[in-house]
Amino acid sequence: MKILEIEKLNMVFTTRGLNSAERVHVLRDIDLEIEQGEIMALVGESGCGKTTLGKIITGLLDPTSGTIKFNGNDIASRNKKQKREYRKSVQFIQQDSYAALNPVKKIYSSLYTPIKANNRKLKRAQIDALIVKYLEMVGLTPASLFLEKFPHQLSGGQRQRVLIARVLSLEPKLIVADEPISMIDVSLRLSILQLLIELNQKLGLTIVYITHDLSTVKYVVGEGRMAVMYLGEIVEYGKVKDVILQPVHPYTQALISSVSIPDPVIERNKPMIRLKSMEIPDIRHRCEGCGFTDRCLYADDACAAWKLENTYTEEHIVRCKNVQAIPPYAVLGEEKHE
Amino acid sequence: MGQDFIASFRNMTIDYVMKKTSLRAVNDLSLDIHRGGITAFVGESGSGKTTAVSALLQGISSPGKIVEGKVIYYGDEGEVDVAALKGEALRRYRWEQVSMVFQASQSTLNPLMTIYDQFYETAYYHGAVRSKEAFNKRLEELFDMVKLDVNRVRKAYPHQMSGGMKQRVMIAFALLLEPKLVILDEPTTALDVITQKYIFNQLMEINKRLNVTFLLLTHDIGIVAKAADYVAVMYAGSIMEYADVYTLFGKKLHPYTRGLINSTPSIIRSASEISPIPGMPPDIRNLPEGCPFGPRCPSCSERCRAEKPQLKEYAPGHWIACHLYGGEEA
Amino acid sequence: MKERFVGIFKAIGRFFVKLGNAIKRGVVCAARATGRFLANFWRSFRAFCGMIYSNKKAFAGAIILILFAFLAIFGRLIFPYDDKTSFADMYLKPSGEHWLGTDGMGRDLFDMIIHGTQDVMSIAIFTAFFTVGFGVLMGIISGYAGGWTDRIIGLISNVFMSLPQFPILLILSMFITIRDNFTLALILSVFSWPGLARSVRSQIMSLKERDFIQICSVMGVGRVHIIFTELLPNIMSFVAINFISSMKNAITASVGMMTLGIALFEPTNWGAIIVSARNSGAFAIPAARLCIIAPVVAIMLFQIGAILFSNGLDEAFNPRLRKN
Repeated sequence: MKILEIEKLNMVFTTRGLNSAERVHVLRDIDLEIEQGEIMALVGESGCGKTTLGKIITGLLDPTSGTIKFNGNDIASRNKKQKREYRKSVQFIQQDSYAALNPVKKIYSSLYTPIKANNRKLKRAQIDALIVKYLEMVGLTPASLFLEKFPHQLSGGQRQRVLIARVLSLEPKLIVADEPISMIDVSLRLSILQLLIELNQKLGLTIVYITHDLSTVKYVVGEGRMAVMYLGEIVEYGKVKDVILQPVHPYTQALISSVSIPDPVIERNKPMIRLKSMEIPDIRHRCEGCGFTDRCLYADDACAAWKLENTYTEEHIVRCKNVQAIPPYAVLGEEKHE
Repeated sequence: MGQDFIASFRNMTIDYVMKKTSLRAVNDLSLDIHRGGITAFVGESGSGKTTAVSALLQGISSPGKIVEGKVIYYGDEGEVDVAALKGEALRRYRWEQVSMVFQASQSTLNPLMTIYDQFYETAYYHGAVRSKEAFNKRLEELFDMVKLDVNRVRKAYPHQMSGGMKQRVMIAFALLLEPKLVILDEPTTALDVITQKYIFNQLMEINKRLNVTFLLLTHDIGIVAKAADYVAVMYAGSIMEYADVYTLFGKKLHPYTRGLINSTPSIIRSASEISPIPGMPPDIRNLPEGCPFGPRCPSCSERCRAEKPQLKEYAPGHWIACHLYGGEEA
Repeated sequence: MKERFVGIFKAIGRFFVKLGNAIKRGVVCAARATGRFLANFWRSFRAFCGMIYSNKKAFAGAIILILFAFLAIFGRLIFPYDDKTSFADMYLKPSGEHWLGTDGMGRDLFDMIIHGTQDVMSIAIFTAFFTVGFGVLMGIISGYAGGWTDRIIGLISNVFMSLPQFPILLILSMFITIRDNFTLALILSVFSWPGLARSVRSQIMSLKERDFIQICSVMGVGRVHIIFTELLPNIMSFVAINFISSMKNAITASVGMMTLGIALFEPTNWGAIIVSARNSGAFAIPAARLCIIAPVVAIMLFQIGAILFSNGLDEAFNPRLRKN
């Protein structure tokens, strides 16, 4: 069953200058379906719009156009109570765990407030028990050690666990995790990812994992799916093993060939993908057609004006006009490609 | 010595001396740095890699101090004891012999000066400006090396450039006075993947072309695999293993090295091939007796708990600090 | 046209109903918060004292301020003031009987200053209370609501800020004389709230974009709750610092008001002592210099205490400094 369906979603930010208004089209015709209970990865470099999309999914931003269906119902046409339910069901884990916790409040009250706000009938003792339960669920044991601490007294990994506990305490169906490990120490990253995977498997939580780090995608998502974003659109979407091992879109190919592999023999012998330019262009000056046109070796004159369409196969969607002409690419070289 | 190597750490110990306590950031570190190669220091934050390498520039942040041992730089005029350099000699040594690209160094650019002015000022200060023309030519050469359009960049202010461009400007800046050794402290963190790869390709090319030695500090195993010739694995202030990159990754002898490599996610590994290192990162205020990695090591023995293993040459060019590979004589 | 006006009135009506509800909820929330605050008071108070004690500046400032508070409350009991004038004792030198000598009417200068402390302090506290209360309220409303509310409050505060204070007070002084400290404090705070409102507004505006506030709406935490339990604690130290520094400003300003003659002359008020000494030509009489110096020193001492304490508070509370 599909928990979330996004269709033709567009987002335009308007920034007002002194006497002019500038429109920035940050998300273009996003189509995305998320199955109940899956982990899906949303991958892209800075400025590709992945965080904006995450904020739209969690309801922090309203899209300019397009529909979002949650459990089959359009969220725009819901009444207040249903909206509240949707809000509660879709939660957000932010990137910077220090900024996401109120610096002057103890962990206990940071956790108490949202539980109380959503369950007004609960007594204090019941909430206390819940707080302890969720802190221990995310591996902060014994919970009593952490309740009276301020955010700055915890390590980055512990704070990230507190955030996850806070999100769990609202009993969500879908969690959007925005770069949950990018701000914490390398040695602690894997354990946070493990926790997310565990929550997915044990509680059946659906997770949208937003990241710039392709290396972790396969670890987190496993057999699931991933979407690659570039300058506001999803350029490639499909099963992780297809997208990573046989990328089709020239941007995905370039991205995957750039990820370093912790093995000097493979790393130094893998095929290179050349680009016309290394810099990501400014999204404000992006052409209406394919955003990758100026950097793509296979681009022709028609690409910049191409009407964005999804092509390739049903399971593996690629947004590229010349999809048939792109030579295949495989990280492990030719021998494993057959 | 000065032929093969460019610098040596000799039993260097660095303490951060505070009012009440003192922290041992680097513990009895000895290593020779190959001339012309890329030597990577890899370790988690707090492993002491930055502190150790800063000693090469007399740049240990206060209150850190070398309490034992020394750092030697093999210059054209013989051995230089870096810690003993003072005044004019130190000024000439820094940036003319050894320079550095700092972590997030984009913010070290002065926001109110054009790139040209910043380069000119430094070159002038070091007496490296013979004529305007010569300097302009040098600038062109430098920016060409990092693939930047000199006409676009020279008049630009830092805020007019992207992070990747600024980082390449900083690399050019480090190369300005033709140093023999450049320290790269996490040179590509906070940059996008494609930019990161591109910058490393340029760095490797520069390394070959100019025969300049690079010291690369990083926590990213993938980058080590991509760029390094030699690798020193650091943990809690000590070198655990040192070898050339193929041996290190191929053999994975030291338990910490093995753990580090096996815990690194990769696009070609499935989840079952990745396992985290158990336990908590070390607390350098409270290190165990014996091997610092002991508490997290799967093959920790009685001896490891009692006695700290020394860094020993296990095979030619391959040094390990572990009782498993100590040989019989110990 | 008519419909438009009706619409506007209705909108205004709705706004007030909403405002009323919000205030009601706010009061309930604030009451609860206060309850919790009191429950934790002793613990926090001890932690606070510890923090002040460990910061030299704050500690020195606190000692001075406590001294003044003590004098304001008990000073009149310990050093009773005799307002009997006797020209025979005019401008006596300091002695065992008169520690700071006497003024132009033969009154004991030391006793006068002690006696005046209470007035000076109460004006300062009232003014600080009004300034901070109104300024913070306006700042929060305008920073959090944004849009039109923000523009209107901004306009009002700009008008008040650009009013030339002295000429207006001069004109006012022709019509009214302020007889009590309460009114004096109100007049003083009319001119001082806009600055505070502006800085609170900018703090709220930046706080409201921070992750921990943004996430509140995803978690379904209500707006009133966000303001009182998430935002307010974050600006509390800032508010406390401003309270102290507006006390400091109020003292100087109130002296000015007395000199202008808007406020009623209370002979023992420090400002009044200076004014009467000046009027009786004390600048020319060497023996009378103490009548100027003593109240000035008292004002300066209080200001130093206030500055030290508020700087120390800033250091002690600033989370960025505290983090390490």
